[in-house]
Amino acid sequence: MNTFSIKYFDGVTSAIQEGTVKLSYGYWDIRLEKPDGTMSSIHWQLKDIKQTEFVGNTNIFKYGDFPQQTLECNAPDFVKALSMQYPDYEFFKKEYFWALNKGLGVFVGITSVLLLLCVGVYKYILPSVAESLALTVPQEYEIKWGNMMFENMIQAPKKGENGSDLNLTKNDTLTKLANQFAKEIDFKTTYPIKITVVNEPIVNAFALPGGNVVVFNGLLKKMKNKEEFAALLGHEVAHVTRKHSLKNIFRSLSGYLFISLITNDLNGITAVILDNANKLQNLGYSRTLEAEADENSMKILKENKIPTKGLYGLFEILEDSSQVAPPELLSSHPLTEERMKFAKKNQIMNEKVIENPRLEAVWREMIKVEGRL
Amino acid sequence: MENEQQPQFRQFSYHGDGTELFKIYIVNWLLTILTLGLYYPWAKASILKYNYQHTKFDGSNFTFHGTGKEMFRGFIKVVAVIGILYGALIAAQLSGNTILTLIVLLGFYVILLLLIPIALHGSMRYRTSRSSWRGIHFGYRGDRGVLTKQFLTDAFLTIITAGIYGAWFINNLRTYIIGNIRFGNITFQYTGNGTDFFWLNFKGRLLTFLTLGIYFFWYSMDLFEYFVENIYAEQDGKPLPIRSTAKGGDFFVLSLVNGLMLVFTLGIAFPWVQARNFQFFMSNIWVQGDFDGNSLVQTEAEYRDASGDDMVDMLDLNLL
Repeated sequence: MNTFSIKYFDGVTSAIQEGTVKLSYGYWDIRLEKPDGTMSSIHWQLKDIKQTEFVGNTNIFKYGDFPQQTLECNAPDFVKALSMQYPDYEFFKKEYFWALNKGLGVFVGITSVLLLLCVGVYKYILPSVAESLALTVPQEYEIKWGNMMFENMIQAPKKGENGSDLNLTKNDTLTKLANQFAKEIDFKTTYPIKITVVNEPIVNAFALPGGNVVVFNGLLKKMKNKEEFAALLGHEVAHVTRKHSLKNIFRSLSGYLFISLITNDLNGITAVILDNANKLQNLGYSRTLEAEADENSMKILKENKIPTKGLYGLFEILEDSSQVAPPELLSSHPLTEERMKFAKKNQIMNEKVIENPRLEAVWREMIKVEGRL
Repeated sequence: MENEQQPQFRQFSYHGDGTELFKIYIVNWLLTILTLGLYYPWAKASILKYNYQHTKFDGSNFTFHGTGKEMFRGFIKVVAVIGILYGALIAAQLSGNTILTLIVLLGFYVILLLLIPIALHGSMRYRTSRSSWRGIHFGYRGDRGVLTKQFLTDAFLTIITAGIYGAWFINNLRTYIIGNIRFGNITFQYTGNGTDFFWLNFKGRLLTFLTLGIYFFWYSMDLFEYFVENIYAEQDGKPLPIRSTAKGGDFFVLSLVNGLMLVFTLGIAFPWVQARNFQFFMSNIWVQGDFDGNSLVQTEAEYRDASGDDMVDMLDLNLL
């Protein structure tokens, strides 16, 4: 009952040695038949029997230090005999999860729960963790970082080259005037706001972390009045003040990290699919940020006693040019009907405001520089 | 036993099962996520163990002796090195000093380039030492200095010839590394040469381009065959040529089905795909000649440092 036929490898040569193992008290007694017909006996002490593996129906045991001896046993009741003979001894490493061996239903259930858990972490927990991490970045670092990004993007016109795809050429005169314009508005922010106008026909504008706002000439040229420009600045400055870019970077970075973590030993296709899902998720997020910036812009207009119709006017320009503009505009400033509705609903009709005459003066100067007057 | 008529060909085979692999992967994913990546070495060990166990040659399976603990030690070292490198790079960039940034960037690439052969050497020593068949361990006897020198020289030549020398680079690397692998009393040689390898790649890429990518599958099998059939093993002076029977058409069908499986399951079918790939490749490698599986003698020393292997993993090197 306690003797089983085995294959044995001594770790010195690769020869297969046939024999038997007898489960004795405290040790295994291994008997091997030598080529000359004599028998040899080896004792394996229980405590040094290293590991157990199953390959098909074969149980494999290793013994001792390098180079290990190996014993293979095909007998179906060997495992049962082991637990009978040595009830207190663990030959078999516990499976990670008992559930994995409890039938298909349990296994599928556990797997689905895990997948849902992953999705849940990715969709709900990760973004808020990333955002709170973004909020811990000191302002001075944010400003320094934003300035670095800015310098990589903007090319001074002095170099006399046309900007490449990434390098935008700065318009010095308009930049100076735009900054004068911005100074007349109280954005209620602790960030040093710096406006830069670049010579590009694109109808767009964006904000970098730390206070840099870049306005494309193409958008400026389409503006009918100073309210629209003020609304734009209010919107972009809100992105800065509320650390939207930073949050965005943290979110997509953490999403990317999470995905590369689970796809660490996965293949390329899965990674690509998930990566695109990540981008989509961020696109949805950027809509929320835009809405937040719109609200803020409206607030700044009201507080600075600038006519609130500016925001709606701005959206009209964006919508107009989105018919012909490249799709990238849609992604950085997704203009939805809701945004226009919001602007329309919140603007005050026939409002009586005490206008800041300097704002109008700078605006007129800007139009003049553009050659529109 | 010794007088028994030995078959002329011996085939490798893979007996792993996608469902079993899937169970291992699921557990690995979960623990890797819960430990924020620290579980990775154990995850890797469990997969390697499973795949080795289920790969058979001449009736006996292979064994991977590496443990997560060993690989974790290496992993921590490698993370520290990479962390310091990137830390220096980021610090230099934040300082805003252009000259400093350039110097650090240059240093970064030089160190990275130096790390590759060192990692390859460590990886080969570790992987071979932790692999066994019938209790006999593989071994790698290459010299780190020699490999590093050869690697840097060839890398330099590859850079100044705009990549053309790459064929010779890979070939020399294979020749050195495979020539230093031991398996008991079996020695290995790599008999490929750079010129053949260059034209093989040239033809493969040209036809892949001309056939809009379809030839890629045949090209891949040409590369596989070239690699496998140029490994020349010898046991006590008796040659043991290795043959590939992998066909481009079969590989095309395999890849097509695998691709569909992955796309329609959003990647969840990955473990099954992996098992199918292993089955395909293993069953297409044959060893010819008078192999005596019982007379291998343990010759190699033990090597437990997994740093090189972890580095190769992290740099995602796949040079062989």
